[in-house]
Amino acid sequence: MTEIIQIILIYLIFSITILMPINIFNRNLSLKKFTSIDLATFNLSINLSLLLIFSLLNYSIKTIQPFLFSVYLILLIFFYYKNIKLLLKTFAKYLPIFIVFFILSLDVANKLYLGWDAKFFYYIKSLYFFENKTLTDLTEFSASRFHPHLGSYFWAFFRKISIIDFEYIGRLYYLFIFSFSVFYLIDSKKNTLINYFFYLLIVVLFYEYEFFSGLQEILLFSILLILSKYLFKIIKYNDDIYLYFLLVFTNLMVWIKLEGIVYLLILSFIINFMVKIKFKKKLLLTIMFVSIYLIKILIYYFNDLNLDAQPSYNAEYLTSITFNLMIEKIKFITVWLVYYSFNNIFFISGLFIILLANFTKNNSMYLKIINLYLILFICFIYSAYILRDQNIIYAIRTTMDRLIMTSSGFFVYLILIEINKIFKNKILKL
Amino acid sequence: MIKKNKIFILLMILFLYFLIKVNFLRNLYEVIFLNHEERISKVYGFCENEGVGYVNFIKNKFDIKEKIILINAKKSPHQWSVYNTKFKEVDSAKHFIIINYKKVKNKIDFKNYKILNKINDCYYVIKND
Repeated sequence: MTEIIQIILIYLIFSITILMPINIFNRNLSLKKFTSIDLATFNLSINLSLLLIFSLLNYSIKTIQPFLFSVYLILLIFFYYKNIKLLLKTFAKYLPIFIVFFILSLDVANKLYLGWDAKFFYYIKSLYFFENKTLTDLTEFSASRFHPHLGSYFWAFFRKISIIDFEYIGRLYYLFIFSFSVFYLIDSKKNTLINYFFYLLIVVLFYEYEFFSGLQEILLFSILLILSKYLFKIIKYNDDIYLYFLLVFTNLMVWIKLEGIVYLLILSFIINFMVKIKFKKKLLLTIMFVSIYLIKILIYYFNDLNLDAQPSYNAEYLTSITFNLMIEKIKFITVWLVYYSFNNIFFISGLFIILLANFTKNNSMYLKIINLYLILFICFIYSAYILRDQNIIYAIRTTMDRLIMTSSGFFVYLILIEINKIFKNKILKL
Repeated sequence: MIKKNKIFILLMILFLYFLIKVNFLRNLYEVIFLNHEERISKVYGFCENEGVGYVNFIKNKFDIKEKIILINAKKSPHQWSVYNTKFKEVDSAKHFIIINYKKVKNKIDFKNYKILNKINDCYYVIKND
């Protein structure tokens, strides 16, 4: 029973990361145009970025946590004491998030096992942070260099908040981000019951315990869900705020997984070639995108981390790739890509909808963006496996399903838009 | 009104399916009535598979402050369950936990070790000085 109470309590603590530092009921002129849940996603990106900054400093979680906790508690009271009723109403509206979180938390709490990569990399990294070590100490763990550290930091940070010390409590934060980001997609002022239905449908179709077994892909998937809606709003409202928060989330992806760099490139392509914004702003955004990567390289360089991140990619192998080898690899990649695409409901539905929409002469900018995303992602898949110095079948079978799963996050909003059209705009208020 | 009821019924059916899909009642029962260690042993095995149940049992019983090495025939990574950030990877260890000794006989010779605990085919041994 203690664990059940702990799960409920930890949900409330997780919720703080979407309630602050921006008051989600703030109706200032500058924030009036955003919905509460938009502001909640901004809060999430700010708080995750704050954690990123703290993870880079030479202070242990034990030092940071009491300080952060006190500041947030004061802010929480200061912001919301006048809005208690509104806050409770919002909690009631967000009740499906809690229900989904609670049910899936029990599954995580009972199944418990960690995925291969989680055992080998992420759990041990989180153990360093949990045991009050800092980023520089990660050099003592040789396998640390293969992957960035941020997801493990979240794991350790939220595990440490918990009253009972079980590792899975930290992992539940991944589940919280997932439950919240799916809800963000379907949230609208339209028919609530239909929204809840689609929310649950997405969760039911998507959920597998393995995604929450300590692997980091679920974080990228959840961020892509949010970003796909941001891009839709950027086109529709032409609001810079979404652009800047898109940048903030992209930065987080780079610190969570190596593939983050691929999404950084894809998103910078999309922003530069698709979104209608002034040249000066594009230039500024491009500089920011490049800076994100450079800053990461510099920080990892100075901390002696991650410089030979992927030994499977090396110059010697690149120069030895022959035309025949490339053709043979392309054959394997194509077969497995089709296989894994059919295994992922969102990826295959997204693909089907994109094809259909292209043939029906749908010229929407959002569709063009999704087209570009798909093309760039497929290019990434082919180049990643062709250039990889590893048995092709082994490489594909151990990673491709997760790559497809992560990338499918970008298609979910498109699928919802198309379903919305079928239901004559009764699901979402676009 | 009728339409709303239909949606509500659909939602409830989906919710029931969701509960069944994730084994909600079983999860709830086991989280309440089995403690964390029991669930760990159920998942990883006590003295079989990865043997994390046995590892935790030894760690709790002996309160080992030194570096431990886990020896297991299983191919999946298993050092995570004994990993201690206080020690460097290059540091040598005196404490060994062995899961399924019969399968890893060639890796360890008991002549040089003192057996501190044995359950079935699992051992906790310490290297002689």
